[in-house]
Amino acid sequence: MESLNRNSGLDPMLSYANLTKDELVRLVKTYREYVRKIDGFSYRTVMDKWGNDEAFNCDLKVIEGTKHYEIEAITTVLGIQEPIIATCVASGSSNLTGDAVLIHSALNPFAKCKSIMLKSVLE
Amino acid sequence: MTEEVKDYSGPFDPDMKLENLSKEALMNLVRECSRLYLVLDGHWNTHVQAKYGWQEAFDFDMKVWETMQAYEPGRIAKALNIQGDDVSAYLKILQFMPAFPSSIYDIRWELIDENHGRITVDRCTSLEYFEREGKGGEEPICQIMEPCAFQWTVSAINPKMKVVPTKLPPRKNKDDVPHCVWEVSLDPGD
Repeated sequence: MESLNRNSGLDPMLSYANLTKDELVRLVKTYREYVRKIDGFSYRTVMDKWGNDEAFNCDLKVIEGTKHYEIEAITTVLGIQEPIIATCVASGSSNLTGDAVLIHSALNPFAKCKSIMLKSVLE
Repeated sequence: MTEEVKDYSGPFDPDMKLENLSKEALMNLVRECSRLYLVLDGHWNTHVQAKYGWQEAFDFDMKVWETMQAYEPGRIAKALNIQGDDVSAYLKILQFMPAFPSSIYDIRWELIDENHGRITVDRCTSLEYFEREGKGGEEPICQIMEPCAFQWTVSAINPKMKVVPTKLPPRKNKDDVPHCVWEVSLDPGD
């Protein structure tokens, strides 16, 4: 593991390019957790106010609205060209492969699995 | 063992991990995750607003961000091994918070002294979106939500720190730059 030390004061010019690879990996993992969290908190906030059916319906619309964005972003960033199952697995947006693949896919920053998401939100 | 790849244009690899990607690919992935974070919030807000109106959507967003802004700093600090609870630590954490993306906004960071800092946003694409939309959305977002959001974040790091805006939208005109300015302070005697 690369040595990390971010305690030498503020670097006003610090950007992703200055981070080590290990730090970037951690940041991707942190950000993908945020993506699940904000979706989960949004779901729960709607559920608390208007009920689970409303939250579920709203979430379906959100997934529908963001699915294409997610797949396009992932395929562009990672240079994935074939619109096949591998692409869906990598983007975590497939219904073809099921939750297990979504959960365990290592390249899965945008995975949506309500059971683990709500569990993590409530932890 | 999978070798490092500059992207994922090759064949499907069931053992692929983030660690197998090149630094450049990881940087791109971080940017997209950051963007998706805000996009996802935007979609939730849009659907709540369409059904229940602007005020309910605003209240909904306030609740969501209050939770997220308190949650984010600790995770970033852990990921980047940022320690401490002073102004410097706050600014370093904020540099990498996806809710305030320096990869999307143009932001200047200043540590004036150990108890004072300044954040200057020269260009905020969210503000530009609200200005293009023309519904005045920037006023409640920038004047009500954002000051709360900054304070929620800084309070999660150190409740004695304060963040106060010294310049906020609406802008006088398109050349009115910076878009907003925030002063950070920690009163050691507090």
